[in-house]
Amino acid sequence: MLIEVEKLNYTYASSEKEKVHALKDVSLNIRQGEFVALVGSSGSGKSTFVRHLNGLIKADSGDIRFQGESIYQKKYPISKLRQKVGLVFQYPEHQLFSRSVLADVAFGPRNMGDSKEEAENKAKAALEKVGIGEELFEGSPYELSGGQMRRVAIAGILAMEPEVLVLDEPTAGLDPYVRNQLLNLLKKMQKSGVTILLVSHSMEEVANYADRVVVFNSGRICMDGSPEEVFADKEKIRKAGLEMPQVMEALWQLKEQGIPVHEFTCNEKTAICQIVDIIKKKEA
Amino acid sequence: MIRIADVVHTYQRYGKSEEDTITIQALDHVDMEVKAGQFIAIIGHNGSGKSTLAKHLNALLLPSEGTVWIDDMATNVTENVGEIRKRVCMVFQNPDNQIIGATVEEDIAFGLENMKIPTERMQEKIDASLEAIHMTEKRSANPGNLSGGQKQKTAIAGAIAVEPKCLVLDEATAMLDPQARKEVIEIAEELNRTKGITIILITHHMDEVIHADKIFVMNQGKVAASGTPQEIFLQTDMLEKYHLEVPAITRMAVEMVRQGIDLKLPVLTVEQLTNQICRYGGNSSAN
Amino acid sequence: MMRDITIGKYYNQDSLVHQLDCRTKLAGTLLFIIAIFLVNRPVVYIPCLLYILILYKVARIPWSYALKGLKGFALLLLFTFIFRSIITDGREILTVWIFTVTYEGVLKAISLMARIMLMVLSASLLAYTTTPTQMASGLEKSLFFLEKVHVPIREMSMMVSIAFRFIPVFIEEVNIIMDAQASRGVDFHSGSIFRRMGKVMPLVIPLFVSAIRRSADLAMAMEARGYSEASERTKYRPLRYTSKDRIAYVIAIVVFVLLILTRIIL
Repeated sequence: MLIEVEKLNYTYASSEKEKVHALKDVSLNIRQGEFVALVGSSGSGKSTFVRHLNGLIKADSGDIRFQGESIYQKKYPISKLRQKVGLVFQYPEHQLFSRSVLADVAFGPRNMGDSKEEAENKAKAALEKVGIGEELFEGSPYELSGGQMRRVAIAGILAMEPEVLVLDEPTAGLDPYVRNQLLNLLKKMQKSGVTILLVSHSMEEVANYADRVVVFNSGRICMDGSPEEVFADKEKIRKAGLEMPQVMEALWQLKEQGIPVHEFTCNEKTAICQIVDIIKKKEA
Repeated sequence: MIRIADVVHTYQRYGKSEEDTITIQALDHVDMEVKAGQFIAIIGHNGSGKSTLAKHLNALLLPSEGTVWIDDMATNVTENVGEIRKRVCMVFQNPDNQIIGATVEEDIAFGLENMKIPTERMQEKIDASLEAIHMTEKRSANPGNLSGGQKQKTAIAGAIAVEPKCLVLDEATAMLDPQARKEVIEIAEELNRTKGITIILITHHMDEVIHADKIFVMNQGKVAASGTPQEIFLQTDMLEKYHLEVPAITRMAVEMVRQGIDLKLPVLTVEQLTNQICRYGGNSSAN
Repeated sequence: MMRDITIGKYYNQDSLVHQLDCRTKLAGTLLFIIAIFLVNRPVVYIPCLLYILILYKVARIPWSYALKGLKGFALLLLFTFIFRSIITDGREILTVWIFTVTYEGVLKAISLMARIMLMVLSASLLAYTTTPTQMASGLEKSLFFLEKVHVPIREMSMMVSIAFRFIPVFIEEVNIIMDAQASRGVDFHSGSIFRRMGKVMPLVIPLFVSAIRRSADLAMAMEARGYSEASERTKYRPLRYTSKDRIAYVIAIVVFVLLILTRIIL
């Protein structure tokens, strides 16, 4: 097991008078090479949860084991953990600061102790992955378009060559075109062995890209399974304040109206084939 | 109520030296007309010029060429600006960067204070605005403790407190989660329906525009297409070309038609698809 | 450390202190601060502290909040204490290397610390019980005579109130950027002071950029809502003194006079 989270609890003061029990007994195991989507309405605890994974927030109780070792034991090398578990924040382009794109992306590896040359090589490789051309390397990151800045910021994490990539709503505010590019990149990285944890608000995105969906609801994990399994429980999804992917919603409505749908799938093509078959059979 | 005639907007982007300085044409001969009481959507990918266009509607930006008319007042006449801003109000993208007051009420009051509404008439206007966004119980809340959706609704309340004829939502839903987006759109639709306020919704979320009276598609500073949602969603290739999202359900229906199923396109909602399929199935079994 | 700073955060509560006119609270705070700097007997700081704590109680703000406000100044307080204790001549208590801690020094340090603490406590109370908007309009009205000599008081008060409004937003932003850069391997909490100084650029530059972006957005939002520095504005809640304010003024003045008297009597 790559990451084992056991009964995590975390409380913080939200305003003058209130305390928020943000995580309640959260347990979760993540295997290497998985593509896991973390979903839930705003304030359900998913963003707080991912900040625990690289030790930015320390839980009040519970344990996190990374590659079998508790990250809460004394002398655990947190900086190593942060290299292995790369965390991309929401709107990561707001954290760019260097004079050149290349220097910004090389910042992470430099902090991890790489030499300038090594760091720049890693940075170049990461920039290539996200599709930023060499002609932009020496320019200022602030002169890029919004979509380019987002990709540079993500490259800043990729350059540390993490084993786990955690992304907090990486597609927020992006055009569908840039968004699909980014999601395809994540899928590609998964194939090369990187474990992906994606926090997302878009159920379409989740249905199309994730192998496993973990649903958060007021600080607890309330569902965990393949997209098909999770979206099979329409009532629970609604209770968690989420919508169904349109494909699933359509299949459900058809079933409710007496159409003999047998396979609930998030895959558009499979769904289309199924519906077309049913209709053609009826016609015949 | 709004007439945009041949509007061009250019600006300079300064480079490191004079040669690097380039002139960017954000709007390229845009024509548009909006009638009072309509719900208009302007869609386009990032950088298509939709947000620049929005800022011309209440004289935050002025055209380099052409004219924007609000109720027959040109925005480039300085004397008109005050009145124009009373008639066309805006809500912007970032919920944190447009709330000025320390409480919801105080923020709603900000616009009224600027418009020199007498103190004794403010309370009723603030109450009415709070009522319209269904947030009366949050009147003395600190905006910092509100959710993103509530902040945007507060901004809407601040805008409608001065009783404008038109409300422009300039990518106001871009930073919100789906739940909050829905709330904001529902409020906009309600304001349009019950108070007859003209709504101009600028967005790149296609699911928000299916109830609009008319959609304008922007690309590279031009109006690339316009029409009713029915007309626009029929042109899925066009939407994809301009980097816009075609909802999964619309895409699926197109594919089914391609595979020989007889459906009436475009399909905008899940219900539209399932109802058609059910009717289809019913008809064929009767044969 | 930034997470603990609570100054500039209005604490929403319906209390007697919250209902007072901002000018009353401003005057009260000012009188109190002047008084504690005139007091020359350390023992008098005890009733002063009591007075402040009672005011917190009346304002229905938990004392833990008073402490939280102080936390942000802990470093300053410590520094003042050490500095004061060693630079003052007098009876020697302890010598470390070339520094000598003196009895008089410690005494002076304690009273200086007490002054700073009381000042912070009273200023925090003002901030907890007054919204930035009220504060700005209070300042505006109190200082309006300066408009006659062409000081743009109205604009300045608007600036102050907006600055206050954005403090929590900014603190939030600092936290996020720190976390994000920590995720890229920056360790803000260790290393020598010089090494730490080098680490502030990844924090300061994004903050600066964000501040510019936010102010541009805000300026546009204000303009869109009809704000113009040239024109007069009406007020949602114009300032009006009530009988509560008169009573508060009496209390504030009595406390002031009592504190000044200690100078003469003790």
